[in-house]
Amino acid sequence: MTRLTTYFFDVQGTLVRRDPQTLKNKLIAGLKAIQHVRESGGRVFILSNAPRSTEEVYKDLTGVGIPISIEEIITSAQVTGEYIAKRFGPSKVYVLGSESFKAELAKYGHNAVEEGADVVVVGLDRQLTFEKLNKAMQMIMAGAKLVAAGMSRFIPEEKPTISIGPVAMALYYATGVKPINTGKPSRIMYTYALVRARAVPEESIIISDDMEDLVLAKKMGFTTALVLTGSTTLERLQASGFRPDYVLNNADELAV
Amino acid sequence: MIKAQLYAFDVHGVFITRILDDPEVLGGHEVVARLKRSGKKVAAIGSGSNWSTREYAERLRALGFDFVIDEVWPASRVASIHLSRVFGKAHVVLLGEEGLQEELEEGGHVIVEDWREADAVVVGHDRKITFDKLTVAIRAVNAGAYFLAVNKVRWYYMPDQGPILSPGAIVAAIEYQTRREAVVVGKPSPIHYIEVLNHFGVRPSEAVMVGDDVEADMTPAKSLGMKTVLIDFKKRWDSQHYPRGLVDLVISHIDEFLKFI
Repeated sequence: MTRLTTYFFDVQGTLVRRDPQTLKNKLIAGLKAIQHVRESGGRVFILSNAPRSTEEVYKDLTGVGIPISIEEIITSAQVTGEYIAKRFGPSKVYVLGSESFKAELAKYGHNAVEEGADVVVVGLDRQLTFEKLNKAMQMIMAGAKLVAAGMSRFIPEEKPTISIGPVAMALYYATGVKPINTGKPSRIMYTYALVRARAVPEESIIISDDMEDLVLAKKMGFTTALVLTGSTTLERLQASGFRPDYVLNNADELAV
Repeated sequence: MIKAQLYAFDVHGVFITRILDDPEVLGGHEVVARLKRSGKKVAAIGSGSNWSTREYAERLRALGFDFVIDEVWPASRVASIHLSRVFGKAHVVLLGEEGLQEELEEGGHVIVEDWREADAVVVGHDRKITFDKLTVAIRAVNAGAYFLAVNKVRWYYMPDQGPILSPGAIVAAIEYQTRREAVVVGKPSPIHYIEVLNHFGVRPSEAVMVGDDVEADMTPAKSLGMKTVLIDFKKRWDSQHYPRGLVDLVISHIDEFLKFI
């Protein structure tokens, strides 16, 4: 792996696992790998699909002992904020998501509103109601854009829960407006990550437990490493026909 | 002349305007009365998922239409019958309102809160849906419960509130999450028409469907072999196109049908 200079690590299922009972994060692996990459002159970034503020993600990661700086954390919330700013300008946004997500979007000049939004943004909203969904639908029908900070079906490490993807699909079905995915896996998020890291795919590797993350990454020219500590089992991988460049029992095998 | 034993009618856009909660009457009282006087069978077929058959019949009667319960066929009724065919009595996780609950309980089904106990998940119109309710439903579907959509309507229009999100969106969310496809029982599903024909013991060729919607009314009825009558308002904003042979008769108002029966 000597030609690789830039390492993008997924979080849930790769570095940490959330206890479904307590919702607290526990370290799975990755300390050795990160240390090894740094010692051999490589650079490390975190690629998180959590639609939350960067500070919160930072706290979670350092809280379990992952040696990372806040500048090395790339999240779907950042990508969403920057994408909307670049494409539509500072916007009035209606957010189906947490206060923490709204705070991250505010950093890019977006104002969370309850009426007359230019963009409907789908994050993870555990307080989702019919009224909110209906309001989002009406705004889209009135011309608002639809942006989803990911299209994931599951919240990692929890029993099946209504995640971002299903809510975006409900709005898509009702309005006919296709959601723009600004989370993983999307070209938008991977391109943003490359720009932030000033890297090219040929010298970059993505390490993730989610096969779908890696399918697109491989298409874009990244080196890919699947870790078997999360959502993908070896059986499912083999049945899929997809061949990542590396299959690892855990992220620390990168250090071997 | 359109001769048949059973005359089935769409309700909204035929007898009353397409607005759900406070519709205006368009007509058709005499059509129904005359058919019944001459010994014909009639059925009102609605895709609605939030009223029970009893409520739907009461509303139609309050608007002056001479329908008895036996002749009233909202999609909620078909949902209950369909569940009985699959399970006998089913334990159901319900995303729906009181009317649908009443209909299912009337059919002997039991509403449960715990996804582990569910034989089936039934999705209808539910203005009280929450993150937690949706999550219970997808856990049940993920665990293998029968996945039934009363209809897959995208939205309906309320004069004072604008478009209102309808069951189709919720069904789409669950379908995406679980990678499973719902069994839709309300029209345009043929299941809706088959249950009505079955109930009256009438062959499709002996039945006629009168409606204002090509996709929901004409296409499924014709595909089963029923005769089809389209009510085509010239002023409709979404002027409808349909292939030759799909529609046997086009009229512009339900009362015009008197000339053909």
